[in-house]
Amino acid sequence: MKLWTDKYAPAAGIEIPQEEISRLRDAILKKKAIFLAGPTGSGKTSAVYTIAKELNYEVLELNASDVRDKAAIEKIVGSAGLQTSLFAQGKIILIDELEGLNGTEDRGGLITITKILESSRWPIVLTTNEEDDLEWKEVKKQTTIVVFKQVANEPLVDILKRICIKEDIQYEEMTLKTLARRVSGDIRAGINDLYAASIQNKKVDITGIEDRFVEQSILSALTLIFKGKETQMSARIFDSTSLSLDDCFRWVEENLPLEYKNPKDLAKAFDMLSYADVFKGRIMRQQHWHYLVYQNILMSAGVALAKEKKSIVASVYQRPLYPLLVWKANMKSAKKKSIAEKIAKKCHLSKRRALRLFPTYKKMLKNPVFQKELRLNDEEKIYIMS
Amino acid sequence: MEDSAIWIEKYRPRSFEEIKGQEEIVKRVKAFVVQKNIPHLMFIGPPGVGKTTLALVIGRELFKEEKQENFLELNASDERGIDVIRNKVKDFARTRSLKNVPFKLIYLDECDSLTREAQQALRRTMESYSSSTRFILSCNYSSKIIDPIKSRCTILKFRPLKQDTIKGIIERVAEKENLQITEKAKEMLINTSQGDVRQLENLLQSCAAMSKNIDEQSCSEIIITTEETSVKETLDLVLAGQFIKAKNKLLETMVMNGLGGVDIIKLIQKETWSLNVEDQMKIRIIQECGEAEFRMVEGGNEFIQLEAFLAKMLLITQP
Repeated sequence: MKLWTDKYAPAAGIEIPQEEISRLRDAILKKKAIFLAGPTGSGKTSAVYTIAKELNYEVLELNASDVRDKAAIEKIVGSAGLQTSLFAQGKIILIDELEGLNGTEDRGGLITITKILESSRWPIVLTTNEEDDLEWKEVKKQTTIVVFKQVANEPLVDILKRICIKEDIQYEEMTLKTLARRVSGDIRAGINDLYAASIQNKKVDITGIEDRFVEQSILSALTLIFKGKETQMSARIFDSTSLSLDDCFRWVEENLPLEYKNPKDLAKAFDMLSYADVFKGRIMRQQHWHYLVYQNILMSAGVALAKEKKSIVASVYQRPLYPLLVWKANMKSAKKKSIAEKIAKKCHLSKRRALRLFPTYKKMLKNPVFQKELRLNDEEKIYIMS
Repeated sequence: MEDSAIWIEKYRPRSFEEIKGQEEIVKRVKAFVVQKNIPHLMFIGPPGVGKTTLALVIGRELFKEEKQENFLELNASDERGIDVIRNKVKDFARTRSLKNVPFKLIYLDECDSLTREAQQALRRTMESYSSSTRFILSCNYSSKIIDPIKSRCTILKFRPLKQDTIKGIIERVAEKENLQITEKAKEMLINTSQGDVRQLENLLQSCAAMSKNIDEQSCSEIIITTEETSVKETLDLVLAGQFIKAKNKLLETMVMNGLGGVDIIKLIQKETWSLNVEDQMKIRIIQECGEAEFRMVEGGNEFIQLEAFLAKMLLITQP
């Protein structure tokens, strides 16, 4: 079963003004690079897919859930840019969610993209919801800029209404209007909320569906995963959030123990997360993107189906605290490493072994004589004495 | 070097006679040195039994003041790629030694962490330059070394030091450093160090840093590290059914001590034996430790594997 956001992806021309669509289509036909901006859920990605279908083009998509460093982009986009397509008329290279380029993990990504813009044989579409970010300055110079505006309230209500009729769901006009207003033009979020609101008994009920703010999308995704047990739960649930897949992972990780109290459910769900992480590791090490789908499914549907029965108790979800702690830990372990290195050199040890034996050395090093002998700097001394 | 304040360096044996507990090996090696012709050697044995020390003594006895130029010490664990063998080792090996020594020595420590490719490269190097350079390789487990390398070496197996020998070392250090150590404390040190002199002398020095009088009490404070205490508390929380508290405690332990997931899982595995649960459960918990460690190596986020482990442990131990 498809996720509603896929099933009812906005059809071009209905929700998005024709004018923008035809500019986009023209640019694609002219094989130009396009910078496509617009708020979240305004139909950027859908428009590209719709046009591709219309022209019988194949879409090669790289989004924020893929690692997009220099090597990965060159491998995927670089080679595709030169090859001709086997079955389709042509290709569109879609680099989605440009703002999701991660500074450290996707090192060199933006520069590589900028370079590939010139050499590619096929049109490249870059999308972002942060139109004015200064980072895109160079990219914008080389591309045709198309901007989608926020979808107005009325058309969104119409979309929701149409879905309700198709899905045979009872609704009140007022409720749909409230839903639409809360998502402020984000079609995808609207459809997701509608799904969450009507999942229980074929009737739109928005009590418990909170007003949207930035984190809202992840919260409704979590609700669906933790509360529901539907096979409709698809791997793409996290794509409807504004967060990266890694961030979603942290949210699930943090809130899972709050939600699953039965040890059996808890162990099974964590097992799923643990496997999702194993796949993530394989992706990172071998750049095998096709594993991403397993990571995605295991951490969503896998966790959802790990529980014995549905839960209806309302819960408050917590922001993950892990990133902050990891940062702190990294700061610490950097000092620990530099000290261990000094010990290793002095005592005919490998750095690895010095690290393993560190607790004992730390106690010895409280003596200033050793600190002097190992030439510890002030920061390292403070670390030892703490 | 001579006046190092770190005891493992200060009391590192400097001649064949000073090396304790490996008499058979020392006798054989000494004969090689007297002949001024040593074959490629491979030292196999657990940490802290004198492998590096013996290699350093060989270097000193063979080259005397010229040890600096003729003896290269490398740690394969830090530099385990093929380029180290291709560059550092080869560069050193290919130049002939001046002076009146017949060959130069390369001591390659922790060889079991060399990659297979590096080992292949090493094998050729050992052969090609054996006229000018001899190798001493040292490792904990010979199973990780490829056969062609083993077949080129004289293999010497070091055993963990016997309790009496360890006791002798404790008493010698105590005398030199003016320490008073109770019999009970000595026993504790012997049991914890398990024949590893490095471990022993480090512990001893940590104890001495607190007081010159070492008894059972002060000794156990040093032996049981804060990490171990925290891990124990974490496991107790799981047994009490407090999953969230347990995982927060564990995260804090990792962060505060800068420990990696594998360090933690090793500690957990050690602590499991002393848990207040049935033996059957202990085995299942340890089995899960192994699984967690395996997935950590494959995965991207070590903490999630620890959480998954804690959840499994909860499932195992809850009625």
